[in-house]
Amino acid sequence: MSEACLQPLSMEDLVDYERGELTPAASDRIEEHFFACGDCARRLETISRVGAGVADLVREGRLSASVTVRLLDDARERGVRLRSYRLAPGESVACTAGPTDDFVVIRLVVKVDEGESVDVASEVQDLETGEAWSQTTEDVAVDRRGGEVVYAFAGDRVRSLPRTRWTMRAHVHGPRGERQLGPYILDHTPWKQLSTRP
Amino acid sequence: MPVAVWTCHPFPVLAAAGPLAENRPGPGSMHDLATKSDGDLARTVMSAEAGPRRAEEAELCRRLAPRVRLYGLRHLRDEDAAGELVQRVLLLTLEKLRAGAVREPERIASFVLGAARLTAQTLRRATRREEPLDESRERPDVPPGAGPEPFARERLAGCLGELAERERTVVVLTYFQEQSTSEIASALGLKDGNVRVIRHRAIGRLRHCLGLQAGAVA
Repeated sequence: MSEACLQPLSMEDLVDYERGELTPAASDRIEEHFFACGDCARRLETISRVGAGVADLVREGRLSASVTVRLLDDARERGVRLRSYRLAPGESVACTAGPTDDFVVIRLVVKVDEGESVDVASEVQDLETGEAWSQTTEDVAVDRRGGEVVYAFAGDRVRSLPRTRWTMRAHVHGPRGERQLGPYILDHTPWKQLSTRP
Repeated sequence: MPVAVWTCHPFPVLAAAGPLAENRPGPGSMHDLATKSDGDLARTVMSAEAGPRRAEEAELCRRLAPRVRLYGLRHLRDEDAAGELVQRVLLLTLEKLRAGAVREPERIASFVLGAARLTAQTLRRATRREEPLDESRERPDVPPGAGPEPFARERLAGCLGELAERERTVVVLTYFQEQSTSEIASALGLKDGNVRVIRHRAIGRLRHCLGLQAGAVA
């Protein structure tokens, strides 16, 4: 129908329906509504399109996000090319991004307890110009199974970096106060510079 | 009425559903059609004395195809299977309407939903038995424009970049990895309800950023 919906379905219901997380009865109710309601069908379609677009961006290595170890395994199985570095607190690693890497994955070992959240602070220094800057990512998702912050950087983004040193620290907040883990040091060299070294 | 009105299902649907006596337009303009209810359109298509109504059929298909496709994606979890479902259900709907075999045309949406449910079951059974689909029947051909237009990748990537880190994580785990709410909650040490709230908020922000809030999508 062309007129606006007077009792639109909630976004929560539409998202849960699209994910298949409603009871059969609730799912039936949603279907009966959106089959008769162009407005709600269009809203459901936008959710579906957003989901498909996100999946495409990950497959194409164009989206940086903190993820889980299991997602990395799934991505590998689907042909996504990953270069991975895993660091415990206090460790440092020489790293790069190859020409065909879809993602460069940084895995920081961060043991946290229930109820604790993690911010990751990074100090970045351009080793060619000496320029430095810092950034903090608040409330980073932690893969609780492995006790890691798993950050997947889009390959293109890493390939665009000059020689840089990333010094990262995890700030853990919780009911028992705050503690700091790290540093985790990443010495990044562009692939081309590596391949032209004598 | 020009052929261009067939933005949803071009001739093959009609050919499969039965021959057209003539290319007879409905009584109104495209604007008039857009203001008609689904039931009004179904009744017009059914009216035997009027003969086939190509514009009304096209408008009905244009409205119903996305709904059937969404149903198919949800239940068959496969884009190709959802496309097959759209073809079969719309073909059946047109055939039944033309034959005057839809009891309550004002409730055409319910008829189409019922057809979608039955047809999806058939497709699932055929898939389980690895039966080939019936290719002997003339198959309607949905043009690329019938599906939803893809987002501009850069724009979506930019909008995702504006989300909070945890929101982005939940969205990626949901849509790339197809993880359930419970699986995500367990992996990230959250409660199911928290994951739902984060996901809902993230999708709302993405829709806003993409200009897809209510009424913004054609």
